[in-house]
Amino acid sequence: MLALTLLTLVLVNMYMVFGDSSKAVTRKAAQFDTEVEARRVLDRIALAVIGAELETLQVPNSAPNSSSAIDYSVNMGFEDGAVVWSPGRRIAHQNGHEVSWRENPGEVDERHATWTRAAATLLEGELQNGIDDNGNGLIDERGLSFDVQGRMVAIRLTIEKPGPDGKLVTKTLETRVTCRN
Amino acid sequence: MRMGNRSWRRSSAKRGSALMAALFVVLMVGTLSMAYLQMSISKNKEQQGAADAKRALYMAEAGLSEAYAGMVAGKSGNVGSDLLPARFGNGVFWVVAENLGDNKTCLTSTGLCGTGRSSVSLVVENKRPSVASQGVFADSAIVVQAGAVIDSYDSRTTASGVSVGGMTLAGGSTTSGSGANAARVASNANITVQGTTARADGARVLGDVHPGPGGVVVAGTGSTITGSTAPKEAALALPEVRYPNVAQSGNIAYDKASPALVLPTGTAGYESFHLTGTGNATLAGPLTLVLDRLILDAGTRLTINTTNGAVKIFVRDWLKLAPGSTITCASTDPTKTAIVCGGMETVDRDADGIADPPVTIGATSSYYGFVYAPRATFTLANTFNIWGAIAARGLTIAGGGRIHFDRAFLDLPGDEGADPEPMCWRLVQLPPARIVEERTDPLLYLKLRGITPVPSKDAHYDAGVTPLTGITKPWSRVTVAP
Repeated sequence: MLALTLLTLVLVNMYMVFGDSSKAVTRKAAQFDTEVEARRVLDRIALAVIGAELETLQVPNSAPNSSSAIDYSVNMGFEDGAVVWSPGRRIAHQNGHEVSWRENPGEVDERHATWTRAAATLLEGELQNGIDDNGNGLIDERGLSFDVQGRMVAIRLTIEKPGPDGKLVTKTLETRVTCRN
Repeated sequence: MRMGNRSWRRSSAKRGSALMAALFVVLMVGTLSMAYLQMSISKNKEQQGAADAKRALYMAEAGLSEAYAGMVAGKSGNVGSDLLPARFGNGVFWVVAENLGDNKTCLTSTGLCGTGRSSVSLVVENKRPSVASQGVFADSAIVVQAGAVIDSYDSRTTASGVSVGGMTLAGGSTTSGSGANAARVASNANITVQGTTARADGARVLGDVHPGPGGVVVAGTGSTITGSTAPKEAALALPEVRYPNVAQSGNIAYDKASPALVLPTGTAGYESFHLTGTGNATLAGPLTLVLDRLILDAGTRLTINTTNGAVKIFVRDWLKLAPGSTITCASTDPTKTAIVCGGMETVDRDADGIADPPVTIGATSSYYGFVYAPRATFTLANTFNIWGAIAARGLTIAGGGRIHFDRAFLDLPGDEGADPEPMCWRLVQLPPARIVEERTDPLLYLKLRGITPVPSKDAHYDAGVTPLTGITKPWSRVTVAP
């Protein structure tokens, strides 16, 4: 009887340890996945914008109003003594959770790609209330926001994905790129 | 006793069962730990890879900056190569410079750091025209005396034995060419082309003569100008001479005809280089020589050999190629030879009581190269025939003199004083190089092959020198797609 009780105790403890460890590993894996996705998408956006021609760089609003889309053109090369610029391109936060890239947006020959479907509706810490809740100088910015300051573009991105316990795992990253053209 | 034996047998049968359970627990914990460790390693690798990718981009941009600085200093823009890249911090880079023509150069830099790889391209333009591309140029007046002839040719296409302006071009390369009416004479002031005199026919300029914005061309009766004489729209400022930073190693005075004095290649500096008596010296490229004084007395001979590399002579104070001295060029590529003098004042330089001008060019020579003396006014003797270009503060071409402007100077990548202007920047595809394709740390990769990367400041190539490369597949250099 005593041995059985002791065995039960040991087994229960083992189960609790394994259970907690397993949950921790799964949680960490979810955080890791979210962080990896956030970094990849942000790096992709940064590399797309870094070669933009300054005069073609356009955002719908300027600070403190936020912009969740950016229009730009990049240098494609040099031909016949002249610089060749790409057609207009757009990176935008759309449909609530998507970050998409488009070339010739709205045209017949439009090309597009979706870089992530896990973008948050609003940037982390922000609420839709007309106030800068997270203190970054922007009001009600979406999960992807652009802020053009001279030659520099500040890009903020929040990625959220469901975790193992049903709670959302969130990761917010920010970077600043200086346009080279 | 029997009962004791039975209980002992029973307990011995059960011995080791706790070990099984313990082993199972240890295995489970070990498996979980391994999973967690694997995840941590994976995360670290991911973060390290992202960091290396960014570092590689900055490394590539550092390469562009290095190549740009090299172009400002008169280099070609090529820095290192995929076989021997330049070392910068904890990574390497190399830059390929491609001449796009029309004073434009495309610099493509590939940066490697850790597992990161990045390639960026920048097109630069030398907006200010090269001084050498002006042909015969002076900041103040130019006088072309009667009997002198100024014409043009192209050293890249004119063959050996082709007559240009009545003189036979020695050496040369491919098929014949002429274009003898594309000479260039320009000034920021007036230009005088003397007409026929009692002693000589009128001067001939087979090409354009452009005075300064407020200047005029004075063409004497009997002179010939075949091209435009319209004034320039804007004055061209002669850039200051930028002397290479070379320590001086004393004086050289040589008076023997044999053996000839041969300076080692590379970079050298002396206070004075003076050939006296029957002195005979050879300067073989690649050589950059920085002097306070270059003096060739009558009867001396200087040979310039650019077969293996460019020869650039910088003289700070006194350039004296006395009448009766001889300069011989062993190669006929004018773009590889330059004599640059920054001297300005006429003062007594040798304590003989007679003031010495900063520049005297009276030697006998068929000189293939560029002469640049932005602060000196002098007369170019009719024994010193130039195949190339010349620029000075003020210039007189002595009667009977010959200058053959080389149109190859029109396509040289840069001017000694003009800073290239960036035009456009873009990310490009990685080149098909082995060191790029093997995603290991480039420093380790090179170390295993016994290759020591060169410090970036020492990895520049001179204009006209093509770096060795192992890339055999075509490199499309397309823009990286998002």
